[in-house]
Amino acid sequence: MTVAHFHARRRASGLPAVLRTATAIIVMSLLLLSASMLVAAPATARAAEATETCTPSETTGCINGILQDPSRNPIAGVTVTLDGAESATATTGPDGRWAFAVESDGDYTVSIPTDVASANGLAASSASVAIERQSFSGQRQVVRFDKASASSSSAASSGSAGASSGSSAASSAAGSASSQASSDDSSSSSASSSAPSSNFAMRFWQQLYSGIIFGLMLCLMSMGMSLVYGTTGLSSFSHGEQVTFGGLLAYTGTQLLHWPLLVSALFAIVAGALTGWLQNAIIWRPLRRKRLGVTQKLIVTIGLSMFMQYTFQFFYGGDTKQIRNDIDRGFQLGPVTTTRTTLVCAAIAIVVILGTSWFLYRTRFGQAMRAVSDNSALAAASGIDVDGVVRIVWILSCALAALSGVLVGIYLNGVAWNTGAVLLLLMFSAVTLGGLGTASGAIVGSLVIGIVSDMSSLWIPTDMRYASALAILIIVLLIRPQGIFGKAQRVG
Amino acid sequence: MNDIISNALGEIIAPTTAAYALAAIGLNIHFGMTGLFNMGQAGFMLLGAYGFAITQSMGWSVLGSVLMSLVLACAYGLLLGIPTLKLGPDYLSMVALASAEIIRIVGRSTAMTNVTGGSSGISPEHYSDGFRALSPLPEGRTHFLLWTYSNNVANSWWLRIVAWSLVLIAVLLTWAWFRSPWGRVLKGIREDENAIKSLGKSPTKFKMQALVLGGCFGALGGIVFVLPRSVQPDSLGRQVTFNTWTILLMGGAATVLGPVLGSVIMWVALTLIRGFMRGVIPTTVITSSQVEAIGWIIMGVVLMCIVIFRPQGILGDRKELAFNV
Repeated sequence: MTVAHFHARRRASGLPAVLRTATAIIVMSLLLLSASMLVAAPATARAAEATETCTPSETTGCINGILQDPSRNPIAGVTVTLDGAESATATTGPDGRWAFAVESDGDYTVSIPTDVASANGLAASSASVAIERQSFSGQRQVVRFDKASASSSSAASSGSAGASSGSSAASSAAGSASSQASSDDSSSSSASSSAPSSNFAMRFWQQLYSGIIFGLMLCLMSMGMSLVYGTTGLSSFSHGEQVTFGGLLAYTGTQLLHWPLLVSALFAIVAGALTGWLQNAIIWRPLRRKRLGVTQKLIVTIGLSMFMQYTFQFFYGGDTKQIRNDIDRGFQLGPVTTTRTTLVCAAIAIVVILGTSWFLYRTRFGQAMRAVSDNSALAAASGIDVDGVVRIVWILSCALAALSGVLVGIYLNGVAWNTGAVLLLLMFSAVTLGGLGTASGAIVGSLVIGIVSDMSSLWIPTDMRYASALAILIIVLLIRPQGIFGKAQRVG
Repeated sequence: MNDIISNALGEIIAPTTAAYALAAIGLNIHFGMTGLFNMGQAGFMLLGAYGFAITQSMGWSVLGSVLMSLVLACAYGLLLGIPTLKLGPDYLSMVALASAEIIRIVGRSTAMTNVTGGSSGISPEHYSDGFRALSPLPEGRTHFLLWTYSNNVANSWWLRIVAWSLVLIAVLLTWAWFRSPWGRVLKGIREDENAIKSLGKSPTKFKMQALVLGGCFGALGGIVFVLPRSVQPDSLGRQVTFNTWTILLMGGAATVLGPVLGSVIMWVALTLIRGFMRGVIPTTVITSSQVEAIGWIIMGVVLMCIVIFRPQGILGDRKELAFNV
């Protein structure tokens, strides 16, 4: 239902009024349909309820899925029963979708009538999942009855829950189905302690894969941050907010203005670039004129970060905003499961990273930029317009941040007011790890941080994964203070 | 309207204000006196709070728990300082920021639920009884000037008395230290490390002392901070560090009373702004969480403006500006 809904809206943006009205009617009727479905489903429980779609938040967990037969045809009109900490029933929509919003943590059992399962050749008729609202991996659980093995897009499957319930087919896929929590935990499934060793290999590759994807996203952010540090010596605390800004604008585009995704993304990037220019013109250029110390400017970025973060919260509220409504299906790619969206995001990230590197190392302007970051006085003396270079750096850095915000928002299936702030320390780590102020260092640093943080969840609890990335930062600083690619020089 | 004002004035003596004042006094020793750029004061606070609450729930005496917090803060300060103090200022700030975050992430992890209570934290009945039992005040509620609080329970007069006595002691100590030969060495390090080196002093050793000492005040602040509420790792996150910086810079770095004044102004102003907006603007226009957000938006702008236009803060001396680190 959501897909149709979404496509209908998407098309509406560029069409004449008659069609728009028609679409509105269709949308309305869909809403009515879903409302009637809600009425039809008696709410037997305290707080759980069947919903059309479900967005996890601090207080709401989601259990959802698409009921389809093994050849992927949706099965409509089936009653799905939720039991456990809360209970409710839902009816699958025309496209097989069903969703429950629950308000307490705990174990749940989702079941469909056994005759439906056997008639359609489904692997299981019930599945157990655990909801943990505060945890990124636990706040949304996707249940598939058609597959016995787990599948997800970005994160490893947490193994089949079949250990206890025999043929149950619970696959707690985080990945594209999960979204950025307002807490720190990010997209990864929980490590199941009783996973057999063959499962470990699978999870190993899956975590490595999701680590690389995450590293690529991080790379886009930290390259910009590294450029700013290189040319102005400033570690910008507000860079995380630039990322959030991109994501939220993409959300504004797709969900509030009903633009196509591509247009929204471009809008976000252009607006991001504009904030870079504006920031430089209003704040940083006058402060450079004033010869404010780097430390002072750093604290200004902290103030700016607070200002932006809470402005986002003011306008967008505290919950996670989804940029896209549709959840696409995972498929197997070698040893890992992924989705088309993830691959497209990764491809965009790689192209942009390569493009930026080419720009930095192969063009005259890039040369000027590197000259400024090497020695800005000397660069000015040799006729380089340092002010102009710094302006371009701010624009580029904020545009990259906005792009990464859009990609992260799509990849993690949501962006919240503090998404960037959560990622900020990882960016710092990546930039410091690679060597402060070098673009190539930022790339390697980001990949290391991404892979370490995702792979560490193979051994330590998922919610501590960012801690491992930060621990890496501290260890590297102890052994090699200049970072992996930094020039060895006297520091302090 | 009267409520708004008396609420806001209540912040003058609130335990939270005292907690922030203590943390800012610690930060003042780091930054104002020594020029150390500690971006992880909340880490010291959280560690102190955990040290106190966990040992209290194990049945330690209050003094023992406080000492435990201080020991933890010292150890943490040493751990932070050993690798970073010889390097540039960026390194201490980065490592302090990262370590504070590590403490928080580990503390809120589900794997630590048995010890720290995970993300829901430790509730006050596990650790505040010992502190309450020490109170000489009779049970009941007391009205004094504008305010009525319980004598001993939770957000009490007893807690206010202890908290502000700690602040007073801390202020007196920093006043004495600022004038002592030791304090002069610290200021020397802030102004010119090489000059101090040439006098035969070891800057690293002095910086370490300052880091540990300031961290201890942070830990005390952490204890005071959690006594009226619960120990929640997320309530002592990065934002608390930033608030502490705002307080210090607003009041004036390198001044004795700056941190206290900053803390009082910040909390009174925040409460006043929020109370005013809640009272005047109907909730249909601005929800209460939006009011909360507006408060922080204003704080962000204030922080930027202070640093740009009056970096010495309210009480500070421009000549003794601590920003040339």
